Amino acid sequence: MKDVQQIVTEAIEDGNQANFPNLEDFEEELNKRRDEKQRLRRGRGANRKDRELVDAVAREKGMNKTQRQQFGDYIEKIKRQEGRGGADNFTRNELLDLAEEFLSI
Amino acid sequence: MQKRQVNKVSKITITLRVWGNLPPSEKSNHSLGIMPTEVLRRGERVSKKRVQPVDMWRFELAKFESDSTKEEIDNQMQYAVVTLMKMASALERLDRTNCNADLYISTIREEDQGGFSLPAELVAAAASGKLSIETSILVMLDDYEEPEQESELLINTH
Repeated sequence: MKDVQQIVTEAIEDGNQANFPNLEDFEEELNKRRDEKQRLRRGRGANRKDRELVDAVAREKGMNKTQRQQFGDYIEKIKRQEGRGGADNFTRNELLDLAEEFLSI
Repeated sequence: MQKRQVNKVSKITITLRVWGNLPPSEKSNHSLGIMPTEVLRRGERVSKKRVQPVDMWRFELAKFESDSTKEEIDNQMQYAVVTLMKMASALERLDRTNCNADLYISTIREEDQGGFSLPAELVAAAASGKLSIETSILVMLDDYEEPEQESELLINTH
């Protein structure tokens, strides 16, 4: 019998969540994997993808151009405050939380 | 008619950061000999969801934009060099088993090419305080497409 891990792996590989028993579990696992992938991703192209991620999150949260620009400032501010290294970027989930935080200010 | 060229601006902030497990703020201020721009304590609630993960003592050394004049940039760099040189011995004495110290350079760029240079004196001042140099780069090109408003979406469906 397939365990959850196998089902998630197959569902991700298939690019859909067909036959996945629990949507919340699927989304959680998917997000975890995205974060892990992002953490491992370094080097050429990383900055472009990080920008795309910032833009994707900004769009998802309905930000206009000015807000997206200020969100960039906010990301850099928090990164500086938290003692992160230059290459220690935020994951998608962390960016989503930061976007909510930024919009609530 | 030709479109007006809008200058792309890049922002650079140079910060001295001391972080990790730090003594009480007053003691840090005294030993470093300067009042910080910001101090945050580990465990402090910094927003609804976030708690500060480390003690952070930071001092902003320079902040300028790519369209700042050469004189403005030179003045800020000079201020950063002098400040770091004054603090060098105090920084060198920090117990690095409990804390980290770095020169944190953060830049937000609106252009897809470019860079920045650090004067030799600034690099030397950072080295004399045993500071590592961290660089964070965020590229924010002017190609962002705003999400469609809900009302627009509704109109488009009819």
